[in-house]
Amino acid sequence: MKKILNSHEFVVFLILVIISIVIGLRNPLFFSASAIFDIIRGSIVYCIMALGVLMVLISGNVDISFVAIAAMASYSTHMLLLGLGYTGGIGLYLVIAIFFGLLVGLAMAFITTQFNLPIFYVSLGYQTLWYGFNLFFVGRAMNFDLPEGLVGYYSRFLVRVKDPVAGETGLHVSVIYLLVIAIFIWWLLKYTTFGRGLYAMGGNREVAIRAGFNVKSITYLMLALSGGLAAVAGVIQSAYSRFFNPVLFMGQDLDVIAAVVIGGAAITGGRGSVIGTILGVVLIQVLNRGLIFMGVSAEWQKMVVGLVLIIFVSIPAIAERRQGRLKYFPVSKEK
Amino acid sequence: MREELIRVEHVSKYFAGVKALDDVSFSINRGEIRGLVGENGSGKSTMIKIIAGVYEPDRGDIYINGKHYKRLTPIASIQEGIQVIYQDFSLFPNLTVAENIGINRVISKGGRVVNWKEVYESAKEGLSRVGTDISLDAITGKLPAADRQIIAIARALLEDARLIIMDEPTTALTQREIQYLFKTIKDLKKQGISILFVSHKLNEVKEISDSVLIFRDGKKVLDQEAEELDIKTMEYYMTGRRIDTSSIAYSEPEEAPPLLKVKNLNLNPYFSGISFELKPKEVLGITGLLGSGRTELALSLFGELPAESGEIWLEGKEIFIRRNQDAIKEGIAYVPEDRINEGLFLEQPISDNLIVTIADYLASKLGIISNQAKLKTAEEWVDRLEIKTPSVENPVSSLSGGNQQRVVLAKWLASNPKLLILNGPTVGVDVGSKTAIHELIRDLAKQGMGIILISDDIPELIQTCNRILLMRNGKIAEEFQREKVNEEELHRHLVAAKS
Amino acid sequence: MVKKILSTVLVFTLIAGFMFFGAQPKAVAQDLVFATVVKSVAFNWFLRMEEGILQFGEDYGVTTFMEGPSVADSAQQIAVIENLIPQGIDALINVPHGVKEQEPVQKKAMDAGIIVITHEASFVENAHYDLEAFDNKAYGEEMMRELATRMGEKGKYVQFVGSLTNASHNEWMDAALAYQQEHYPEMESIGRYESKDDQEVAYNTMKDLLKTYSDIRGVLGSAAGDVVGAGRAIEEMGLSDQIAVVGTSIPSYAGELLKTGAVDLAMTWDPATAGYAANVVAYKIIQGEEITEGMDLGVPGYESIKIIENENGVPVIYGSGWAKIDATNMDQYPF
Repeated sequence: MKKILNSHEFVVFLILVIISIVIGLRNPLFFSASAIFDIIRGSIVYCIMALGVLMVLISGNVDISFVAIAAMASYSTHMLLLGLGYTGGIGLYLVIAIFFGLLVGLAMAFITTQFNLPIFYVSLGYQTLWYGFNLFFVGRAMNFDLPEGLVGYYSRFLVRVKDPVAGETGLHVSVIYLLVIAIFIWWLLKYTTFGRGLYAMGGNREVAIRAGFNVKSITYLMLALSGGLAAVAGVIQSAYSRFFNPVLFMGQDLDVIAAVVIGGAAITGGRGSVIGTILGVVLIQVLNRGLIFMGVSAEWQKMVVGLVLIIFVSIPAIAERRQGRLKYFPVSKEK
Repeated sequence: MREELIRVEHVSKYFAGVKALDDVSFSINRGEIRGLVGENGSGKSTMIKIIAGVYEPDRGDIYINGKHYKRLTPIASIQEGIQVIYQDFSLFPNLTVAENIGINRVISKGGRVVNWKEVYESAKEGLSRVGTDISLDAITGKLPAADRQIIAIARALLEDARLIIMDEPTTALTQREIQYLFKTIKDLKKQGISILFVSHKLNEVKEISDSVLIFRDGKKVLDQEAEELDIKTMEYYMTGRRIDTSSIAYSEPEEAPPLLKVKNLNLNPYFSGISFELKPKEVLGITGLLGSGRTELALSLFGELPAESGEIWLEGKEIFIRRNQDAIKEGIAYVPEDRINEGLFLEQPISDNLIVTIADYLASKLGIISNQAKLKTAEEWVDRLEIKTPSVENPVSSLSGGNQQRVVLAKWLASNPKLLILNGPTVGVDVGSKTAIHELIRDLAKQGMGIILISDDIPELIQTCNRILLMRNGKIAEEFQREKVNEEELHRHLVAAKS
Repeated sequence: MVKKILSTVLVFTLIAGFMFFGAQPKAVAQDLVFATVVKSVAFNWFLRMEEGILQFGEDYGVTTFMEGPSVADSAQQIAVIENLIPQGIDALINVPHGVKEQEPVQKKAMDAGIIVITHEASFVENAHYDLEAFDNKAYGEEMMRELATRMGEKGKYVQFVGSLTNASHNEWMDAALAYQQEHYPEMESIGRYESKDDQEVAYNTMKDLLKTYSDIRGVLGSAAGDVVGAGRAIEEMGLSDQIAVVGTSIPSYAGELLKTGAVDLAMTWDPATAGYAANVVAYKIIQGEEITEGMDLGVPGYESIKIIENENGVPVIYGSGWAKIDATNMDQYPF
């Protein structure tokens, strides 16, 4: 129990609750089912991408190309299916996009392992590469032509709530994807040698190699999965917003990484969890949107979000430092 | 009972034409504790890596359990029961004790799924073999070095180790922790496990080993029973010259007003009621066991753990130290224990590391540091401290341990401090460099600097200090004049603090 | 060693390759070369503008091309212009994302002897001429009249702008607000919100605004995606009938929503004719012709231009008229 209370995830959760209460006190509608469902809907896509980022961060790497992979996979899939006259639903979209995502992830793994380059360096070019690929080979225009099967996907809800004043909304079906993915990644991280290998690599790469972890194949699997997850996020986001965008998510790479870090992942590797990541994404979402609920105008919004972020990231750091000082010499050793 | 476990015959190894090992032969018996000593570059690590299967020997043969090998692979080596515990213990600092010990078994089985029950069980088994009760759920990186070492040993034992090679195992340990390690090693010996204890700390090697191997310049120069050896002989074989440890010249401290006066300094829970004086040109030793408060006291004087109450007087003026900058401004310099973690930017050039503390002084009015001034200052110090490097532009990580320590020293000396606090300055440094550093300390004192030397290396204290303070439970328990105490006596007093 | 060389070559190819994707001039100088730099080449709006630019090139025998970053960003847009200046272009038509930020680079271009025409930047300081499809004040007032009619001249409404620093958007909204305060006392603005030129942001903001101010009856959009994002939110909540949505947009963005009635009216000007007209102005200057009041630029909407000097002494050319697009006439505007 004490362990849970001391965990980073709990701190994030606590802050999330405090911020929510503050917003809710100003506007009780923040706690309405429709508001909660909308925040969940807004978080789903970023959670899915963030879980890919999480794996990469745990392994001690940083990748910023996932946004471009999401754009490439979703946009190319759409243009391909559109050309073929596809009229079905999201299923085939996901299958093809995931295939693209995996493939592109594997190619990246090939480059990093073959030439022994840090993933971050490769991802710098890789991001530009796939956005460029979209604009150059696939198309430059946002495409609003949805196949029949995809029309209406944006309001396919599991649970519907009808608010007498604020209209209708609901819990979007894509929350199921997130649940499945989150549980799968959690299982991977906790119960497979792949997952433990990620933590081991992030803890000490040399030692991981010495201990017999196959660092190469771990890197392949990690980047393939991260590419696949980005692809899923790209398709769902496009289906939500009813158009496919060749530069989807451009400029949002650092926001996603920031959310994962706020959720407790170490940018230096070896630390991070699925729960923390989801909390981190939701926290950012609540911060960004809560201000509207509080009636804060746009001019103020930017400043307040920035301030809250700075305050938030310093809390765990301060806690750690205090803890570190007390633990400077473990008196308990004396017995 | 003299059953042979491993025999190395006429092994040679070249790197780019340079001979790292030259026709080396030796053997290790079951249950034997073998000491292996040598200076940096003597071929110790090359030998370890050949036995571990990391390097392929260019010539020679290896026999393990009677089986002949031209070369070993890491896998073959492990299968033959050889386990190496490297200096960094090869642990994952971010993972739990249980996982660090148990994960290897999962991997070596080639499983893809982790059975946590099995991990915990094997971890428990491993720890029980070394007879300790470290918590399985503790995060490894937060444990003291001694515990981490035990964890590394436990992990090795789980692999059915028959020979455990320990590379500089005592570097990060305190006196008391070393004794605990020795006890563990002796237990292992009783279980029939052989140990290759690789170190440059001669007294420790002599204490623990059954027999000692000494390497110099890639050649085996001595192979003898430990009982028949004394430290002087070992030093002679190791360095190829006689090191006269007693000949360091002492400058008697002046009968001048004290340089530093500490009155009733307190910091809960680390130390309380600390009062002492330091004269100019004096070297004052402070020793004590882990938890005695010696390091915290030093950090207090340097402002990193500011004291809660008490007075500090420097050159007859009371000074107030709330943070490092205060201390630096007053002319107090601190050279930390863990040279790699605390003192240096390893990937930065030597020159940049050297000028960190005097950057303000070198900077022009505009705050720009001219490259020329930087290089000139850096080269001066490299010469003065005899740091062996082709260029001051090389990264610090390219230097050997001893030379890295000199860079740390130079870094602080460059700021020309009045008071220099050294914490374990020769930890992890070979004999040759050690002597040089001791000479340097005396030399600095002679120039008028006051020096506080924190160490639990008793010969070092006796050879270098004028006075030695012994701390116990956060208080100064005893004071010794150098002339009136010998190594054995001081050791007895130090260890007595245990009870 | 081979690996090292290979990896170096690879990295350089990646970097070099994708730098050129962005900024390579698409033609060698013949006689005249006119470059049009836009906020983002991935916006359908500017793809339509490109049609006009290329048409002008064909009609006048000038080499023309359009350039711009793939995402709307002043810094990147400045870099594009910086790269164009030494390439010997004769005229630069710039549609700045941020007017203030791009003044220096426009000055640099002028100093290099390049004719600089800006568009959507009526307060510009460093340009030979600025060209606007119409008077921003009049356009904002017209937008307000259309909204007021649809709201029955009473109730709360919200304003969206692409960014709080976008000159034109804020001019429209300022004019709209002033006009409302003067003529429709029963209407009330609840404030101005940033969409960051992102439909998803407009969507989320609209949803949250509806919860906070359940009595919103109108939306004014500035960026082409504003009414699309807001309209989507309103449609999904089943409030299309109760809320009037009026703003700048084009059929390829808002088409679906115009049909369903979620967006009531899209107001716009044809970016193709604006692009064409701006190039004509540059051409005439280079030919030594004087630009005069009432001149015909030879393209619909600019048959009789008005010229008013702005406060910085730069003459601003105004075309006449804007297009109002709703479900009935959207087929006439194929962009």
